[in-house]
Amino acid sequence: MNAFDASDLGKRYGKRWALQGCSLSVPAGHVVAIVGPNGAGKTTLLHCLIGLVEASTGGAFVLDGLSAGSPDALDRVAFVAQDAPLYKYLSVAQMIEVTRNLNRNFDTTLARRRLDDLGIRLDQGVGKLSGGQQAQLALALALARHPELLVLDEPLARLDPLARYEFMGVLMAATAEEGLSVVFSSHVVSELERVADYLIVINSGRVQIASEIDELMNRHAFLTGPVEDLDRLSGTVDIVQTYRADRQARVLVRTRGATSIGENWESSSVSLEELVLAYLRDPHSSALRSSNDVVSHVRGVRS
Amino acid sequence: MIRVTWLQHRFMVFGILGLFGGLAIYMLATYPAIHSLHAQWVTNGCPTRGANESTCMAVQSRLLDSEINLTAIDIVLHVIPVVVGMFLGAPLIAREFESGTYRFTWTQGMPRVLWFALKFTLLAAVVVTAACLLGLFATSYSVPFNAVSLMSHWQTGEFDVTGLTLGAWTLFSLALGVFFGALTKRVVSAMAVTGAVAGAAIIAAYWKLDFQLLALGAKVMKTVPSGSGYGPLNQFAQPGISKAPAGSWLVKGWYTGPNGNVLTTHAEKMLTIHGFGESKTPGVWLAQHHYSYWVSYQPSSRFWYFEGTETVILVALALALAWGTSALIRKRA
Repeated sequence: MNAFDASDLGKRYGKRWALQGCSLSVPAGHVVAIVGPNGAGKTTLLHCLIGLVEASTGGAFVLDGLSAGSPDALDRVAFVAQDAPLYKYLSVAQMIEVTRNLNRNFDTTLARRRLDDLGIRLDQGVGKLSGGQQAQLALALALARHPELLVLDEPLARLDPLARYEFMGVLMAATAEEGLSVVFSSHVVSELERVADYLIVINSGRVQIASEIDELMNRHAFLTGPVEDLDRLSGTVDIVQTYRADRQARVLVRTRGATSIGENWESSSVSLEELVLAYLRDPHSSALRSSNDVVSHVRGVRS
Repeated sequence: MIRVTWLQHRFMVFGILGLFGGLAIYMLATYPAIHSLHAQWVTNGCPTRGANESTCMAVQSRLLDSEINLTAIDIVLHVIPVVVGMFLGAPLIAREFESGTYRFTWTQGMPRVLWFALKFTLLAAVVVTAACLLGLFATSYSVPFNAVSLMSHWQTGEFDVTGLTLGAWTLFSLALGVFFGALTKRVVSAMAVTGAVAGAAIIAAYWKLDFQLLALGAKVMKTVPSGSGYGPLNQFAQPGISKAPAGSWLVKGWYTGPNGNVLTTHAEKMLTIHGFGESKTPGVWLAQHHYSYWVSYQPSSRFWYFEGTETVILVALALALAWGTSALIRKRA
């Protein structure tokens, strides 16, 4: 089963395309990180996946073919929005009540237990909670729905380092317990490496990377060698980024499988952060599989 | 959903019901006095021929001089729907957008259109019921004043605030506020636009639209003028003054000449000034000179038919606005 699929998904606001030509097929059971600069289209993609906005082109589907935003999808997908918007004038207990009344499946006991573990009192006003506590409350409410897919939009943005650590700790524990699929967007590349095993990079409204992180790391490497050999190298690998210094070049490459790169080139590993930054610096580069493969798979899911 | 709606809107609902209640308490406090005067009016058989004229005049005078501020009651009754639209309707969707909580609420298991339909229905049920009850009480409250011909339930001051029409105006304003809230996504803007549009609609109905509605399908009769009597009349047929059927609403008056043609406005003016103007028996003068006076009117029996018509129009508009709001929230986020 796939956690979600997007088929040529696009969203336009006025004349501006916030997201364009997005075709993805992400298997279930992963913790998916969506990374990109401000205004890249991360939130738009997430909002399309949970049906908060209507796509301008294409379609989004969750949990093996459910139309995003459909009643069945809403029952099985939980969302924690950026800044964890909650009703500030209600108490924590009342927020639990509201959420329970808006969902068919809601585990009040689980929600209360999680909040108790975090030291958040039920009689506290939501508006009186700290940013971290509000985020934890939003997460507890989402997890109490026992979703199959949990979507979080920049959950760490407002949190201090300790709050981030605690938040991700709760999230990862719940993921392990419930076996759910998680999709979250973030600026903080260094932290997502700790928790995510699937990466999507979005830049200027287009998807540059959509891959399991292990596979991604295996396909990329830094090569260091003579500048004059660059042309020959480009025939055997895909060059993502080139750093030149005098006669030497350091190249971030994406291999095409088992190829010989020549004895002049020395290979070294690349960190996830370096890889992501390299793609973000060049919006036109892409590490996607053939788009036809993705589209045909999604069409198969829909039928 | 009842619990959700209660938790989120209880303070505003309390405030609005407080306004309703405050007016009801004022009318309740003054009701015994006017009820007593009305009882005297009825007991004395006013204003029939056998009644004690001085007693009838005394009752009428005391009602006229009473300290009850009918104008204030009238204004508050007309303002109530606007207040409902501005303070309950406008923030309903607008606040969700402004605070960002739509990203929480519309991603829960309940589809957003269902969420809106239930919430709107629940809030409408409460305020419209309260408005209908207040309107019924206001109608009962005005009976003594109508009896002594100080007021008429046809007049727009009462016509728009009966148990039916006050409820309908309240529903319409609530739907208007909700619609503008979904359209503007800003609470203050939605409140301002709702206040302006709902207020303009009520004023337009008060000064113009109600008269146009009441003119539809009016009956015609030949009668004797009281006063000049030509052009739009828009007045109650007062017993003892007008020859039209008791309790009817006079829409328009006009004269026809000896040849049966309708006189022009200028000719009517000349007729009333230089013709029968000084005569104590205008009807005799008109008959002698082969002129006729006609009025179009709505008989008393049609009153609730027109009340129902205005109610249906307002409810239809409210439903259209609610449908429009559903379309907006389905599309917008």
